[in-house]
Amino acid sequence: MKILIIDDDHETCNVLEQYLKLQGYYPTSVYDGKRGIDEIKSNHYDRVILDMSMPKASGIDVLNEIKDAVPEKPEKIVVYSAVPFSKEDENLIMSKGASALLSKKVGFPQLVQALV
Amino acid sequence: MILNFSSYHFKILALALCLGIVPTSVLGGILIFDNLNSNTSKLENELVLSTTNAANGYSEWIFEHVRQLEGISSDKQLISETNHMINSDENSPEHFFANFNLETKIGSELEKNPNFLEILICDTDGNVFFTSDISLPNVSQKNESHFQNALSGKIGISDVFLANKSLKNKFGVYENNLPTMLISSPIIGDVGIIGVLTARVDLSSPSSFSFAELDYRSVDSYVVNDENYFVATPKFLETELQKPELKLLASNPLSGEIIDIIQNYNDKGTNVNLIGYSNYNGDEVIGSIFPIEGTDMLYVVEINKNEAFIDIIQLQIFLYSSIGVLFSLIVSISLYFTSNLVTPIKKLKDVTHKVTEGNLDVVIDTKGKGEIHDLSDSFSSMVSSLKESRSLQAQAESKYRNLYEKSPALHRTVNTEGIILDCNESYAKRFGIPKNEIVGTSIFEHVSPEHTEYMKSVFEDWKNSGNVFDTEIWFKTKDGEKFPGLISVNNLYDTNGKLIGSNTLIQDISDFYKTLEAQEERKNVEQEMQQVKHLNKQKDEFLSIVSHELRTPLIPIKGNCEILLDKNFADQLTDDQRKFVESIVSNSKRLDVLIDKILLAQKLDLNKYQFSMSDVNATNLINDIFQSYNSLMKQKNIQFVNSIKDIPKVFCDENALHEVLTNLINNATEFVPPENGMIEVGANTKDGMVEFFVKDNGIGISKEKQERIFDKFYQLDSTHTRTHGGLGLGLAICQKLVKGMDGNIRVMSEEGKGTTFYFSLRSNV
Repeated sequence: MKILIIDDDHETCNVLEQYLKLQGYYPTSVYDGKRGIDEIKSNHYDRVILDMSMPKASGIDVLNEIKDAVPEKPEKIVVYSAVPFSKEDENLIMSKGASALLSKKVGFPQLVQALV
Repeated sequence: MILNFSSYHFKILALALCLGIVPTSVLGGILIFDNLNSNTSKLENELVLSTTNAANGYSEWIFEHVRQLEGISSDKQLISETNHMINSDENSPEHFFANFNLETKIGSELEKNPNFLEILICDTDGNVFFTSDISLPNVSQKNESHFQNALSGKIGISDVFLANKSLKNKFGVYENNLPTMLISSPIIGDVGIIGVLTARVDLSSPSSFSFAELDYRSVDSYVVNDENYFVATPKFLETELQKPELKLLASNPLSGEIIDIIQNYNDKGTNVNLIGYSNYNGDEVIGSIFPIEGTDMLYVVEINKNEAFIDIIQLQIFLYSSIGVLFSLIVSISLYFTSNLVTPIKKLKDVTHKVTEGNLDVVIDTKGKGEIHDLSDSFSSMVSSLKESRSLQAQAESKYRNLYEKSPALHRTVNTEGIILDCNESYAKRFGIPKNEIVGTSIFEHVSPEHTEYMKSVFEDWKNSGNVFDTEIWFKTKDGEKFPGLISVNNLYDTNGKLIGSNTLIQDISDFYKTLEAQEERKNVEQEMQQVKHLNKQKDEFLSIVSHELRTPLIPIKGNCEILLDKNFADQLTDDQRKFVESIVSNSKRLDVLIDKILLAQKLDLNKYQFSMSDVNATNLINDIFQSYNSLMKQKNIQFVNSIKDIPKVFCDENALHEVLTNLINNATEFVPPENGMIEVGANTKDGMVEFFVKDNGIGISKEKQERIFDKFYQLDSTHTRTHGGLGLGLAICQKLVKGMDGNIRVMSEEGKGTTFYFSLRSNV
């Protein structure tokens, strides 16, 4: 299962990649929203782990871009963000096509649970 | 007509007199002078001529007698008889006959000429041997001048003398003092002069031709001898009157000096006196005097002075009367003008004065005709229009006065000394001083003390330039209130254009200032708001940054730990190593919790927390909490009691309720004693509210600390050696959350015995 990690924090991406590989997945990381959009448009991914606050294009931008433009959409897009959300934000993000919304304070095991 | 004499009358009179009398007088003077000149020279000529003629005539008359006497003396009979008389004895008949014949001869001669009073004959020795008058004394003629002259062959004429005896005059009347003279002629015989024939001639009765003739009624002419004795005058020709002794005296009219004009004539040869003198009769006359040739007599002609100068006097009279008439005419005309011109003018002048003094209620007499009437008429209409304009002015002034007096703006009138002469009601009211107390005070008394110097400079500028417009000055009222005002002046000038003061307008702009202050305040508030907003935004951003930046490093930390703890690595770690990794994970989680709390506290502070209220089954919630704390409590050896019974659903935010409870429980675990610690969680229902409590048997909280425990970052144990950690945010978060859900939170505590926190929430059931 191919998983795309879109997060501007390299360390997070590296560790998460390691963890996901350990769990048997095929993770790829990109470090900004723009490249995330390009990646999703050019390659198929089964799952996307999406950070919210990023340079060039935010998580919301990414969600907006890929919502209709991608013929073969990722099965699940899990938003994994350090920024706490208000209810409105949550509703907005979910309406844009996110499958789940997780705070970064939750550990990787819960993230994997949400991905599966 | 009553005349009010004013200077005008006299002026006009004087003018008229100057115009009328002076030229007349001058003209008259010239006329008189001319006339006098021509008259006097004519008179002089006439006088001199007539006197000369008369004197010559008289002289001729005397020489007629001389010639007659010569005729007698040259008579042959007389010579013959004289010879006989001389050459015969006195007593001889020859002598007697000769005498008789002479008597006859002389007698006939005397009859021929009545002016010959007597005739005598003397010999060459002067002895009289024949006389026609026997009473005549036989006086030797030897020393007499007339005899001497005759003896030398000429005619001898004696001086005039009075007869000294009674003699019959021309009219047959005897007179004692007839003026006579003796004329002697030599009697020439064959052998030369044999004797002298002498005749006494009566001088008083000359023939009429010898008197002066002049065309004057009062002409008086007479003959005098050089001793001022009357000899002859026409007046006496037909009178028997005694002839007066004549004194031809003239008195100088200027000095009053008496002049003997005969003496004067002899001395100076002046023969005309036109100045005038008193004659023997006492009449004022002018006269002329001329010597009668060959005698000691003089001829005098006099004319009454008044008659002589009658033309001039008439001229003078005419002139004086003309002047008089003129004077009267002028006075009359002046009076006429006074009444018809000056009086109306004077009235008009009086009216003008009144008008000048401001009295326009004057009556102007516009009766009559002519320029005065026109003037009065014009003046009357001028006064009318003046009245009208005055009335308009008065209305305007009244309007202005009202504007000034009732204007809401502050008005005052000041002089150049800065003294207030007047002010309006608004002014008095604004300054809180009665108007009568303001008037007479200085403008500087109304200026706020710190603005006095500035005001003085403004005032000086005004005096120099006359300009003040919208100058801001701070004033001070009686109560000490200071207010800003804008000063503008409306200058007042005297008739010479000199600045004497101003009407000053003061606009009270304190409202403007208030508005300005309010605006500034609003601006400040807005700025503050803006700042707050900005700060809030910054805080929001800070919130995001804190959560993002603090949490982000935790992810790889926890992630790495989870990799290590993953089942793939489980075998590779020793038990100690696993514990270390687990410690890293749990501390990371604590850090997560702390971050959450900070964020939550911030959210609550900024009212950013969104409560999602719903009816919550609190029993379940608390049971879940108990489940999750169970192991921890056992581990800490704390008796954890759940005394929840059946309670209704609570209307609240479930997360918030969870947070409050866990915060209170966490808090309690900090303060319970290490041994026999006890925490009880329960709830009571009361008046539609559910009151939860978390009770511990901890160290308790002092009364003063109880008041502050809900403050943010308040530490119950703030000593340096504090044994209890935490940020001091828990209770503050609890209070905010409870209050945010319309609830109440309180604390009951006793030091050393324990603490109970109560919080109540609404229940809709």
